[in-house]
Amino acid sequence: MAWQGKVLRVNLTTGKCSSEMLNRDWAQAYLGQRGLASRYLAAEVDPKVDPLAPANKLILATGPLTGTMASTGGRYSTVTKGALTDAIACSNAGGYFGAELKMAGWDMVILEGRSKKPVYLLIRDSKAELLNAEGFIWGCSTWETEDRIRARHQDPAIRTAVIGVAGEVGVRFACIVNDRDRAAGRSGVGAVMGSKRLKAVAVRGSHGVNVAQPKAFMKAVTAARRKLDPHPSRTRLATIGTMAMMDVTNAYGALPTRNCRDVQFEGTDGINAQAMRAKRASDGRSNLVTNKACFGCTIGCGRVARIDPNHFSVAGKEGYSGAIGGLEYESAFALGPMVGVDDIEAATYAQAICNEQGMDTISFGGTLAAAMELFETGAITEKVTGGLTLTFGSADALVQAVELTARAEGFGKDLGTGSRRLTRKYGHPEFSMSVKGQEFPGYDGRAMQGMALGYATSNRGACHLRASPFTDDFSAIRTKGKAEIVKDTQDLVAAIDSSGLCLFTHNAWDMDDYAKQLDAACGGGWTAERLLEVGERIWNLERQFNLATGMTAADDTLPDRILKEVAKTGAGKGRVADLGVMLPEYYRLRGWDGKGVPGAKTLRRLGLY
Amino acid sequence: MKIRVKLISVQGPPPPGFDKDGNGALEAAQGATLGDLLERLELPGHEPYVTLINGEPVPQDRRSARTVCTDDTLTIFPSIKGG
Repeated sequence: MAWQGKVLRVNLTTGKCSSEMLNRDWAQAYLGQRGLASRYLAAEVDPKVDPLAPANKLILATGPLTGTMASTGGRYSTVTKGALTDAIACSNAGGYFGAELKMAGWDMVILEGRSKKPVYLLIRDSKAELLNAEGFIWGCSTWETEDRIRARHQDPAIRTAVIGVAGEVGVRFACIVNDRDRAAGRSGVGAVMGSKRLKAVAVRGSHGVNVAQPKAFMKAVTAARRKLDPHPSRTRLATIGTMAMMDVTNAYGALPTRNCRDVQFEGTDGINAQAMRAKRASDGRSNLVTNKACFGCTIGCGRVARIDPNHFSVAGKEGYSGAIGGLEYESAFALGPMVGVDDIEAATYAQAICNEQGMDTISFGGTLAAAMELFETGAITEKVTGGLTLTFGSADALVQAVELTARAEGFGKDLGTGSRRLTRKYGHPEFSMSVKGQEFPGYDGRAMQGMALGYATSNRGACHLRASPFTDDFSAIRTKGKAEIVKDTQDLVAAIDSSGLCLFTHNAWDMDDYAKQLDAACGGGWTAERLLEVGERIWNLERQFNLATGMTAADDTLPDRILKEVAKTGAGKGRVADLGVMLPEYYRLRGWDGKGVPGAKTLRRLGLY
Repeated sequence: MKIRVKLISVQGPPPPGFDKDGNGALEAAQGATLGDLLERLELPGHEPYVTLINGEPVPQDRRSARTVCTDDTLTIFPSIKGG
């Protein structure tokens, strides 16, 4: 069986680490990772809990295929009640940490309570212990924390999942960083970890991961890889990376620009994939160094970059001259067009600070964009910002703001609350481009109607990774059929997110390809139909958790800008997001009532009643 | 007539006469359709393409009926998914 069968429970209040058997019934119903951890969270945490209270729990969970030879089998998820959103949160990361945790013999780690003093968790196979972080790594960046832990324990192969200073000081969109530039990025999972005074989870595993039917598994994995390798989406991700999307959304008029006041950006040539590859006049080198891959990955979408040593953002600063994580599309849009900046070096630096100190690039960029609109409309002045001139297009403001936010200094403390809290504080909640408090990713819902519905109904707040309406959205601007596409792909994505595999495989694979690999790994009985039912079960479980927090159908909405202000240009020119047309059909297809509450028949069918 | 063409994120070497950023032009006869131009471009197969004429999307099932006009700008990109 590809599950290790063991859960590590760590009580930070008492300091006790204990091993439990995995609930196998739940594994059969929720698979792993996102689904299984959400089931544990729903069973153990009062949905009304303050996300930053000790009673909230933080679960790091692998999937059955994590750590196996399946292509991209290195994923893990962090599940909790989100500090940014007050909704159920699930943040998925690649890198090598997830596979290492699985190879140490654990399917998941449940972190509960709050430590009196800062600590870190060291896991070496079956041995787990909490160690003092004070005077050692508390106050350090994610990068320095990893270096120090490896040095202290004399093991450069230790993998870490770490919060930076942002998580320590309670930035609401703090993330958890592993492998220096891979992140469980969204919803403020790093703020929850910081509230528990847990600086890092460090893990070293020496076990393998068993699968139920090795020969069948190898056959299924090989067949899937043969399908994935030549697929144009894979070669594009390897060669251009996710940055291929920048010119696409710009051409289509779906690129959120200047806090979604515009949908096309005149400066994309300064911040797109070609700009990453262009030789700089200053040093004759390009921003892009190479690409890289996560554990078990045969795609290699990751970017490695080098900031121009002559750029103002790094002048007089140490630690940014080497190769660092390069921009991917969601970061580049948020630190570029969304704030009106066309300076790829400044955006790369801002992303580096987000990685170094543990902040979500999307939410930081979205929050800064909201602050820029507050500033430009006169709702805040330099007196409030402490002298920061927050005008759209200012790379200088971007660089200063990211540094201040990471340390919660000056106006950075306001920025660290996220756009919803920030804009409410200064009297203009309409400037927050968010859903359920989570800032928009890089797609405008006026040109992409399916994405609009996907954002509005996403259980973790605005998200481009909870549904996959891209193909239909790019083929025509219409509302017809979107509810079904969004509902079906939400279920599909929930299943993939629970498998241990990366969502990028979904470009090449259909559900049967996942089912065959899982079936061989997990001991039979896994079909495409069953996986989609698992996905639907997970979606409804997450929905029930959110409803129990006090959320209602009123939270399934979009900012007025997207609902009432027409797009000025692009394919969606003259359009708003027609959510009122799509949402009732979506509820009906989900088997929910008009208020978005799952019906008894739906819940019974899914075993949730 | 001359039709401006912009290829975005299309893999492989650009068609003859196109620059490295995918900008080029095609001569088209009166009455030529979008479908005709796509055939001439011989784009790499195995994935669907999105087509815009002057920024307006033209769905796949309407390409053979959509005639092009002088000074039209055709934008083409693969139907990629984000992440």
